[in-house]
Amino acid sequence: MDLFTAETAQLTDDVLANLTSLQLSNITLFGFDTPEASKAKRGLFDGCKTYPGDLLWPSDLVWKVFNLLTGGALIKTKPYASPCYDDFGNYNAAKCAVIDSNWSNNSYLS
Amino acid sequence: MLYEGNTCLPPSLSSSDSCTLGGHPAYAVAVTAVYQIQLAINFARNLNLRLVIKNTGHDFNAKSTGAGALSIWTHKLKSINYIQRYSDSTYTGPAIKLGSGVQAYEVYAAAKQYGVTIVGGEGQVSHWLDLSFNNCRDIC
Repeated sequence: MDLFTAETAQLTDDVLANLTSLQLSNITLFGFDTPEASKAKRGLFDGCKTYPGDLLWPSDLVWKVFNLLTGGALIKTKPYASPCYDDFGNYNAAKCAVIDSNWSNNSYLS
Repeated sequence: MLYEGNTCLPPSLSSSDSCTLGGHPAYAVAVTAVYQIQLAINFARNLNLRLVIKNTGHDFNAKSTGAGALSIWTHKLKSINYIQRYSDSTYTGPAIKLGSGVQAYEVYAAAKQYGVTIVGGEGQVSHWLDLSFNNCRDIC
């Protein structure tokens, strides 16, 4: 069956090798799995995932590299009603009023 | 209730003065191509991140969200490809190949355009055409 255009753009070891030759740092973060890598990692994290705020949570710079590699597809998530608060640095009274008055409006939120 | 976004409600609905992500992912990748999915999976595996997948976000058990996770958002994979004569070991005839972000109303419109019938999930035609899942020929 023919592949969609979306399916033909694939990450391969060759692509990763090219990125390494461009001296892009942190490229090992984007590599495919190998039995050795899995084995080395086993036990390291004690079965727990790394969460925001953890010491090993990726730095902003690492997320930036990830965003670049995905062609700018990365979204740093914010709650929908965050303009009503200071917590995400996007307080906006006018936006908040619109969100507030449309909170139960299905077509606005979709 | 965390995953409904109730940790950040507009002021008229909430007496709380804080706004947090609650059960929502920290980052999401709005994927439009396979390589982005591969990058996200590799990145999450190599950095031991929680990985979740969201399409339209209708999973009743909230598997499409997750606190502190990296989310692969497949909603924008909207390709539709009509195959006039699809053939496998038990079926020969028309088929439609769909990107995972295609919604029922979109595939209904496509089917109408090609003059064929398709079941979107379940519905009034299911008693004679079965569920759409049971009409599925291949998942790739």
